Amino acid sequence: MDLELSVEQAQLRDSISIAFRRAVESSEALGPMLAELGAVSMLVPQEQGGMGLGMVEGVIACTQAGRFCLNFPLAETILLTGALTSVRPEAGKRVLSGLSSITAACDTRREGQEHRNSGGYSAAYLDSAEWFAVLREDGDIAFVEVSRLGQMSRNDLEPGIATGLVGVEPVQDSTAVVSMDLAVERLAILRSAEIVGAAAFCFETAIEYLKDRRQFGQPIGANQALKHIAADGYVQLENIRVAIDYAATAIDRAVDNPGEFEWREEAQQVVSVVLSFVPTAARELAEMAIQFHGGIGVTWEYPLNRYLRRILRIGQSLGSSEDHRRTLVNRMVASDAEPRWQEQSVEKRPA
Amino acid sequence: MNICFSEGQKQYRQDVRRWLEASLPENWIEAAHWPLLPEPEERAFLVDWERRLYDAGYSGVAWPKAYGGQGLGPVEEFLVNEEMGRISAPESLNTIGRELVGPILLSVGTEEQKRHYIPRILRIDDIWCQGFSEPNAGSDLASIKTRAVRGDGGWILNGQKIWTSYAHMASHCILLARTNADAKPHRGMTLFIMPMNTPGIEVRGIRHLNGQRHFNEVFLTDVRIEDGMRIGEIDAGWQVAVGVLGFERATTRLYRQQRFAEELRALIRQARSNGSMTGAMEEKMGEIAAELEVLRYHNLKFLGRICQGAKIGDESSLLKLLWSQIHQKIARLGLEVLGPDIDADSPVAARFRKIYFIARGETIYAGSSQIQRNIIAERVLGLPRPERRPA
Repeated sequence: MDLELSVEQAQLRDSISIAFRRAVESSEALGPMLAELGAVSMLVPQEQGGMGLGMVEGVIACTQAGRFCLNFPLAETILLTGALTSVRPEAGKRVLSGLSSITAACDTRREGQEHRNSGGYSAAYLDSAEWFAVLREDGDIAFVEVSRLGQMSRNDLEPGIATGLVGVEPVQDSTAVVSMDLAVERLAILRSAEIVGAAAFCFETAIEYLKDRRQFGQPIGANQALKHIAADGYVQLENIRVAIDYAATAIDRAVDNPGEFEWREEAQQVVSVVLSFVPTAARELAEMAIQFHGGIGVTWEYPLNRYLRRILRIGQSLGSSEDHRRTLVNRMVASDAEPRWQEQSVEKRPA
Repeated sequence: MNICFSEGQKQYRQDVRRWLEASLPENWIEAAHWPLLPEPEERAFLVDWERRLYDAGYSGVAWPKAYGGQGLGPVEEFLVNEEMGRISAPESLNTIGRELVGPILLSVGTEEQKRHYIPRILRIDDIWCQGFSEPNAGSDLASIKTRAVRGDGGWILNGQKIWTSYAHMASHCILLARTNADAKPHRGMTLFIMPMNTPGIEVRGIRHLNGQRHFNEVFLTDVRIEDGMRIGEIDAGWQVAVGVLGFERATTRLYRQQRFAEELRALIRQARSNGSMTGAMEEKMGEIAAELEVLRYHNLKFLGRICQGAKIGDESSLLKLLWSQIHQKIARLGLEVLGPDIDADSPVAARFRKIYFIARGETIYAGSSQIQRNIIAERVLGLPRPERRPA
């Protein structure tokens, strides 16, 4: 039993962090820089020329992407490059060399869409990604070239990124379908990792502000009213972190052991746990950070703005917490098919 | 990262589960059992249960064999506790002995103290109570006034303790007393073993919100004990108590998660059978189910760290905050699911009445939620303490 990063994983986190910092501070295109780092090929199987790493490492990278508010579809690209390579090798090569990237439909769990490749989807990075993926409940992934997508309208939830609603036409020549085990779950966890990174940045920025900013003759963080909110924020952040780490480990275990039905079930359950609270909790952490900052927190220029918008854009795509909560209740009852609790009259003790 | 138990550990869990299922009293129903028993019988039942646990080798699992323990690791200890929680097995009468005194003696006790007291805790020959809190020293524990002064070759104790759970049934008390009035408050306290039959001790019961006698006031008037009853160094009582408490907070209460999950399952069943399961109710239950799952992941993460020999410090406040708050949510959910039937003459109503009232205290004892938040804010996040303000 071990839910800490290994020494190698901690090193990976640190080197990714340094590299991402350099990348955002540079004026060069992100794609080739990330490719050179090996960030793009992390999860691509070794036989396809990738590093063959797992979800734990994917979560590490996406969390760092969130911390630096990286303008790159990292979760989608690292997860789906291997699948794209298997059906469109040339396109895969372009992604691996950083010339292209992959974006995916925001809503992976829309009802009634299970077996369709068509429909209207919201998506991001429509100006830079070359491939658009639709992940279906049955595990199939349909790739469509972004240039073949139907009309799109620009939205401004995250102005730095080309988001919009796209129409996907019924299966056509340019659509390639490939299946991938637990693809929907994996993408949801990688996206969650990105918003956790963003939320962690907001929280840590706010804690530093509480220590520095002085009012009434002392740092505002000396006030218990703020301390207790901050402590609850810490708990919330730790909740998110442990849930995502556990989910990543559970998914890797399920994918590596396809015969173990229980492990697969547990992986799906943890994903439901994550999706039932992480998008909301991450957003609340950003909101808390804004409140701690006072006036500067509600300005356009202060970085919290970008991070909040990033959390909103990704968080809103992760589905309704209600559905996941219901799923958990049903699983809980199913895991306890034999009720031991018997109704039996007892004498009440005088109070 | 690794979330798998080894084959041996899985087998151990199966063995514990089988033993528990075979050994619990027939038709074991926690809520149906408690209210039926008058206090002496309840005590006899619990003592008998704990002895059977011990005889089966499921008590003191991670304590050294030399002192009557099983000499296994923290994972086995965790597995036993999880399995006991999962079927709501009786809770120990001797939690103070098991969760506080045992670990403190094992870490700083003399060899003689360990050989004498540890096996007696496991066999429940001794029942312990905890003499820390005082009327003016609750959250602010360093303000205790009970004095221990040298005399008659040992120590003479005078003062008053309060909120002393189990004092009315305990044979021994682990007592925190001031031994140095001149030192800084945290540096002048010492821990003692105080047999409860020592002359000069008066115990007065305090009735708990739940109607039962739960805790007590303990008055000490010239209570004389030998120096051999001192635990650890003189004036180092705070350091010992706090050091062990942090670790204990993280380790011994991990089983609560399973116990609470079983309570939530009982409420889900109840809501489905009595027609109170609405969409909104289901969502609320799902939220708690997710929180319980996250608590389990935290537990496993702490367990992993303990296995690797990591020190558990102030971050264990997170677990205390979480479990006590989640349990209060479950308790409130019980009120909602049962509605007016919370006062019904049924095991499930008796169970959730008790849970509701007991849970009120859980965000207060062992460091209130507010104290836990202070610990997290100041010692984990490094937020500053208040500065003296200009007048």
